Amino acid sequence: MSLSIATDLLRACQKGDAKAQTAFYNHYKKRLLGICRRYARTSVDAEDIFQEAFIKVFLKMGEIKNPEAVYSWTKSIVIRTAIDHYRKNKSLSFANDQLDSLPELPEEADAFSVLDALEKEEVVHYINLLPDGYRMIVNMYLIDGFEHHEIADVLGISVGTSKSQLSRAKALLRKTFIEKGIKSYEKG
Amino acid sequence: MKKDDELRKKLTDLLEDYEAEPEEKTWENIRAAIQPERRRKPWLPFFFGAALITASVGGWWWLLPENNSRGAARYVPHASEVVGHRFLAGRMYSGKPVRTALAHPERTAVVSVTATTLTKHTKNAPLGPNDIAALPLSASVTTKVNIPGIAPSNPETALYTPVFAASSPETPHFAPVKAISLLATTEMQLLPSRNNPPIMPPPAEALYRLRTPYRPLNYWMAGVQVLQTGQTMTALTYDERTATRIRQRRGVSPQRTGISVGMGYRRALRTRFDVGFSANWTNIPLETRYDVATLKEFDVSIKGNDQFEVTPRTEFTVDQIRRLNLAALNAETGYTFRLHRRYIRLGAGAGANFTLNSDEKPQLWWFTGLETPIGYSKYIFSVGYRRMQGQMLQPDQLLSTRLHTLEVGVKKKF
Repeated sequence: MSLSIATDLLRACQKGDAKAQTAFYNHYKKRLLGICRRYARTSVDAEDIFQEAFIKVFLKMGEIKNPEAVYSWTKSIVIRTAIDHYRKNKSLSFANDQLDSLPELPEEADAFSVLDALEKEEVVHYINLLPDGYRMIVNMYLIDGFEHHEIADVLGISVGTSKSQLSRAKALLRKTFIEKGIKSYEKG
Repeated sequence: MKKDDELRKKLTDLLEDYEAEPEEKTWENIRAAIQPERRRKPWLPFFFGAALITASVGGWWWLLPENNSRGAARYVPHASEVVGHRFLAGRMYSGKPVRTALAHPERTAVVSVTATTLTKHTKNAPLGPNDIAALPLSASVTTKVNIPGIAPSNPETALYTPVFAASSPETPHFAPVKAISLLATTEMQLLPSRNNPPIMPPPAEALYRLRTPYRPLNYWMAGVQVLQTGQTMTALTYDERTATRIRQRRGVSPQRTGISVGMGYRRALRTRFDVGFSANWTNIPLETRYDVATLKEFDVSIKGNDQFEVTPRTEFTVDQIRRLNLAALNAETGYTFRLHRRYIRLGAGAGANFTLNSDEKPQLWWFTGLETPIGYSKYIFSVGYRRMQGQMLQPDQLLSTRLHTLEVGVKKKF
């Protein structure tokens, strides 16, 4: 979508034009639901977050001044809505008891090389299996390019906690890949 | 760190543009939430219908012949003429002369059609399957018959027992339940006799109505109602979200019986104005059934090709009956004027309903409308608009409501 068209579309949406809102929704819906699927535990949750986030987007659309930033602005609302969703349901915690029983895995056992052989859906599925707190940090740091200080700011935790949680999340993800036998399959 | 960056790049390349297709109904839900004015569109046929009814009745009323009205207006019946078959001239009733005795209450029947629309009903929940089953537009028909008491002990006390009222569907602003709720009321009016006008027996009655159909009475009122609800709410709690639907329960149950007690006062101010106040207390049952399910426990069925379906498993069911205590304060005023030899009474009222044992804020309402006789008959046509704003406490959410109601009714005295 060219900048002029995006600008026109944004202006029309800000005025409440129904056709423009439909066009805006159709343009961004797949990418934004993809983000929701990554952040949500289930597809049902993802649909809920997606719907809630889009309502916020349209209601707050008047705040956008720069049409070039509309996607990143919309994406940030979706991510914050996902975080709020699990925070509201009190399931977003950063306890480390899930990892107490994790085996020590050698770094060279690079389970993540299996990513090359996996479909997107499968990778998302394994991310979805992570506990809520780990899933948020994996998505924010490893996929959406947040830095630790930004994650700390959004999630209300310290930078050190963000780093340690990421490390544990990766360990858990690695353990999941190994348990599923994907690593051995990939080696074979 | 290098491995970290590689993993980051790998995942970003793989999933940054990950896409999924939303369900079709999602956009409908979003649109309904972001464009509240769309929800008002059902008002258009609603108002056109009301305007058509008003225009039809009004046109008929204006086209009626006005024969005898001038002569009749000058005709003032003598007291002896207005003494009907039920009262004897010159006789004293409860120590009052016959003029007072004629203030005996009349039988009335009211039929009204109510159309209600809901323009806003969410506060902390998005529209969709998890929301309350509220309809944007619904209608109900209510009938009410006032029958004077069999043995009114004196002419200053009008005892209506019982007043029968029936409406269907029972709650117009929710998904309509095909039920008729019956209401039995006992209502007593204390009539200060010296301010009451005589009520004429036929044929002078029609003439009298034409001249002063709305001359208000001064009276105290007290009433008791026994309520029986046929509705129950079923809530499916699913992963901390709740879907609510209303179902019909047949039969009479003491657990679904409520009571309402009220009293009020109405007074005439000069000849054209009247004011009234009333208060009542109601205790009604709210029966709710919860089917509690969670995603943490689910049944999985394999569909083949690695496709599977997850169904939440109902863990337990809770039947809950709690009683709501409601208090209401209402005020009403009316102004009567004459237009084209007909009397028209404009009325307006406002009130607040308080829920005493819940977190709901008071429900506020106001009303405006008019009523006027149809021709010279005993029929009175009324049309009114009511707006109510408040909250409804659902099992796990507080919903804001804004209800608009148009009432069109015909009252007959006999």
